[in-house]
Amino acid sequence: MKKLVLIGIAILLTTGVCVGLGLTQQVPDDEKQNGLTGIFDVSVSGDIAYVRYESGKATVYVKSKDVRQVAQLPPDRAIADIVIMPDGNTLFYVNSSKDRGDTTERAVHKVDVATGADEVLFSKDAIITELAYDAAIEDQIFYLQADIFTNYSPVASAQPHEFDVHRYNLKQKTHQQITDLKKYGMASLQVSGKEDSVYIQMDADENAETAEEIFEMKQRIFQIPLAHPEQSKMIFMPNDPNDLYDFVLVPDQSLLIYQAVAGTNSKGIYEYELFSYDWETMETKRLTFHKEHTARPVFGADGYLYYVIDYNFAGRNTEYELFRLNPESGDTEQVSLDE
Amino acid sequence: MNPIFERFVKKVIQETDCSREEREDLFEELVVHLECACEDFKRDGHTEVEAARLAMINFGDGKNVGKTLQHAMYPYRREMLMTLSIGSLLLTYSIYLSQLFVMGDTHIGWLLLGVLFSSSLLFLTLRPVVSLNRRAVMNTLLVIHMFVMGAGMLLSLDLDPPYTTVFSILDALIVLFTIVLIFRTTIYDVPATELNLKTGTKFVHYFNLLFGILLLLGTLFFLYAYLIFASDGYWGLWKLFVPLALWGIFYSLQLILLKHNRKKIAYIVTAVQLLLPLALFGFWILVVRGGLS
Repeated sequence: MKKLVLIGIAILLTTGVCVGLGLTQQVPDDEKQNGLTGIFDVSVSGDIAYVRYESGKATVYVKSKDVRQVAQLPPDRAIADIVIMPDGNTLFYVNSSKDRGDTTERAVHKVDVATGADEVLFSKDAIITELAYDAAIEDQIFYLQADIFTNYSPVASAQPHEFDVHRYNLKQKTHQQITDLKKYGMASLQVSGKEDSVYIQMDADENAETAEEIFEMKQRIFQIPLAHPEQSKMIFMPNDPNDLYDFVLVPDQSLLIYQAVAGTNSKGIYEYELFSYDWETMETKRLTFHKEHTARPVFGADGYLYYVIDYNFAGRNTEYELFRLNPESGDTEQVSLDE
Repeated sequence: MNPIFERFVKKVIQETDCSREEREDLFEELVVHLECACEDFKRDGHTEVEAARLAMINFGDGKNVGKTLQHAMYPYRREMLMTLSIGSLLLTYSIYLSQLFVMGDTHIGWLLLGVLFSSSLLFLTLRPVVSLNRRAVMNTLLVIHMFVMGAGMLLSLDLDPPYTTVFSILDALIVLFTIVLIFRTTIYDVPATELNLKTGTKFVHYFNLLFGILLLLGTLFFLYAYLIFASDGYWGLWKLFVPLALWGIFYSLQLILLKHNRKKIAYIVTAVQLLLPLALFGFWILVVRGGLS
């Protein structure tokens, strides 16, 4: 009997200590994120603006000759996207709630990189997921806006839906809705002043009617002329890739650089690589061979193609590293974001 | 009947996993044995009190005798249950602390459930409660324990390497071990009645338990698939559990039929069980697809 009492006391004590530790050592969800994100941009002058989480606080840094922290948000806020102006003096970022279901108050901030002065450019009771800017279209900042945020099933995570492209006039401080598509998904917003168009990745679902057809549809890149947004057209690619995700346009070189699945690793997880498509020669070329989750291509003014690799893709926490590729030689190198 | 012998024998029996009937038989047998020994000592010239004392001394330490009897009747059952309960307790603490210190998450509810069922198994093994229907209680505990440790598997898979690999393997072993003990408790550690000794009864238990596990996995799979793809309406969800409920009814029916020596009909019901996966699939079509169209 004595032995049983002792065992009981030992179990009670151990459990009590575990509960106590749980109550004191638990890390709130908002404070768990740490490290580099895949959100970055490169200015003409080669400055790299990027977002890093520090104990859950979304922090914006700009790396030029040195590394400067230019903004930091409270742990309950996230940064959805960032754009640095070509001169590297100003940047914009989307401040949103980490509670992804909370659609109230998504604000776009404007930051003076030199002084760190941070002001709210505009805010909306909607979901702003991406920003885009092209110096050729002066004083216009383009953004993707989703109107609802929902999960399509109880075990799936909530995602933004009903997307459209909007723009904001920095001088007149006015908004304009460009498309009226209410798309299920839209991503990788690009602007080309030269083509007077925006480019967007979305589902090629115009002919899909049945559930099977919707399930089978592929994601493609569309050009939407700003003068006639209703006349959008899908960018034709002769070597039909499977789903095509992130992309960047290099109009001067008639080049489209896109992210697509290149294989599957031993754990059954997709490996994403970057490919280029030259729409004049209609040639497709594989650019990266990392056998990892290569993502977010950004074409820098220095002629390099910047991108990130998530070494823990499909894991619980991301592990991003920034890389750049010399398109001529094909050489890749990791970009250090330390001072 | 000597009340001292009764108290002594009760202590012996307390150490065993016998059913109520087996306990009554064993009780009677041991008391008669002690009384015979006592009579022998009395014939040798010892007083009543002295003869009783010598009979018990010759019989041996009650606790040890009980343990020996337990081992003879149910070999290694106690050791297996001790290994399972202690292993489960240690694994529960390890997974909980890994989740806390590696991932920053606390799962107090799961910890308390894991500790409650692991320690219940441990205490019931160390200190059998005579008044309980031990086999039914033990099997209920084992089934719930299997689910709790199944939830532990989800927590293990959520960890970072190498913790996820180590704890997932250990958790899988614990769940498998629990299933083995459910089979053992149901099929082998049963009273040696005429019904239980029949090969047919064992076959029916084997078949039904295996089938029940497969059906449960199938139901959980369809439920998960339903929750992934369903956009609205959960009212039809209960239909997915109909095959499991039918399984329980059919299982009981087979045992009742075997008890009444209706072997053929019992086996026909066993064969009918084979249609349950089809029923599950049919309910899936009804619930999720809203029919064949």
